[in-house]
Amino acid sequence: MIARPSSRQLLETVRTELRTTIKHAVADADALARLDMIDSILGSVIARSDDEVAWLREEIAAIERAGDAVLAHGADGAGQVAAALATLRANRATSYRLPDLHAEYNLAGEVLSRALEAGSRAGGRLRCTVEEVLEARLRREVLIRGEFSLAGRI
Amino acid sequence: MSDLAARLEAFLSRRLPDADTISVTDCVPLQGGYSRLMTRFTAHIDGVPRTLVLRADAVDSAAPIETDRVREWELLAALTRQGGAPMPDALYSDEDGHELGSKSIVLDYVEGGPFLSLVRASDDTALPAHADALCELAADVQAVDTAVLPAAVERPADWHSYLDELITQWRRVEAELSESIPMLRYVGAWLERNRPPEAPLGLVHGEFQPGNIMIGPHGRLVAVDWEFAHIGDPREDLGWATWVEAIQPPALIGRDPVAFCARYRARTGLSEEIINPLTVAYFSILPAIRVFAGLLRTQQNYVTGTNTDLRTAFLFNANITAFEGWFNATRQLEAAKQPSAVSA
Repeated sequence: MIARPSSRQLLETVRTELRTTIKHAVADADALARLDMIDSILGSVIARSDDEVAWLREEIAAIERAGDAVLAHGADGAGQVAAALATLRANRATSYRLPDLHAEYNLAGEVLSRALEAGSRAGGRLRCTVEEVLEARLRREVLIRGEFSLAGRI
Repeated sequence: MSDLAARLEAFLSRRLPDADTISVTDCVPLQGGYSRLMTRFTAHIDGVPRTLVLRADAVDSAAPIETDRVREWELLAALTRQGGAPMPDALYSDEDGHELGSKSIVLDYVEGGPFLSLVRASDDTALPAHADALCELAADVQAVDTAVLPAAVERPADWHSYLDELITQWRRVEAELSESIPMLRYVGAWLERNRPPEAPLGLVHGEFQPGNIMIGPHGRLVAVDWEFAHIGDPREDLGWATWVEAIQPPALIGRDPVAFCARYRARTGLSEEIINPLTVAYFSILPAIRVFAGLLRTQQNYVTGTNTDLRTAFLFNANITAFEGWFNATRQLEAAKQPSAVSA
């Protein structure tokens, strides 16, 4: 396969062309709004393209540590976090394909959800520990999103 | 003549059997919304022109947010019959879409233009007056007599059960999705821990923000797009407007929330315990699930490939903006409730 130029480089070329040549040739308000939406989507795809696998792996590891912290604090009353952790660990991605990794990440998301609820009940340092994982996830989502406004709003 | 104009002529002729002549001209799509198709047109009824608006579902069912047009029509028709509600009159409906191609409502056109355009074109010195006008409109909505609303509009048993249900929605919506969304579970738990004081229930527009407001006769503001209207907590509208102005500046409530709340209290008679910047901030989060539930379900269809709409794809980034706003609001509210913040 042709690995270089990277997907990021190619997408940046497309985005630049749409922002300059194409956009200036369009007068229809609805089409311009759609071009703004396409630009926003392309920006997010570009932000993900080089680092997505590494980011997913980092977040899964951080979520597992947060889940383990809930268990270590004895804050998993009904065993919900332990069950989600067990499901995650029994269903690791078995290939390098992104859809497989996304499935694993989704299972990790359930661990984080349950850990957040357990942390909310427990309060104190445990709550902070778990919410820091959510906050880091949010920071990355914001980085991927970039600037955002509602395209087409008059 | 366009196909739509011909359909509208036939549609109006069936509803106005006493008119000798009806023609439709100047069909112009209106920009601004994501969920419904809006078209301005001129109906010439026995030679007298009248500008109207067609509000229709997308024919391809690809709208990012699905809502019930029949329920919206029943509510708007009831408010129109009562009179006095801050909205354009709702005139006719095609409840099953067989006449106009999709479920549709025909409303009076509001001549004054979009409030959002006016606000954006204004300099800073004009913003306080716009904030006052927004406050007046919010109070007008809250003042509507809910007894006239149709049976299709749910009546909560009381405020506590209403709030329970709304908080539960945060968990329930997430549980229905194939993707785990930890932010929804975090927010649900946070909302439960930080309940505000009880408020009297009333009419809530449900998507109250300058983009859904027009400048009506004599400069009075009127609200449009009532698809999320319901009986609920009046702070929902104030909170939703607060959230939207964070991504759609300039801020009208946020520029001086203390003054805005004071004016709203003076108009409605509600107490400072009920209406203050902290309770409004709580409601900048809580009711968002009403709008986001539909969006998240549609986005799930995008993930599975049954929806390929560009707007739906674009609005994934709106989720992140919402997550950011909710998370920051929870942190700011907790900081504001700390004893040192209160005494400062």
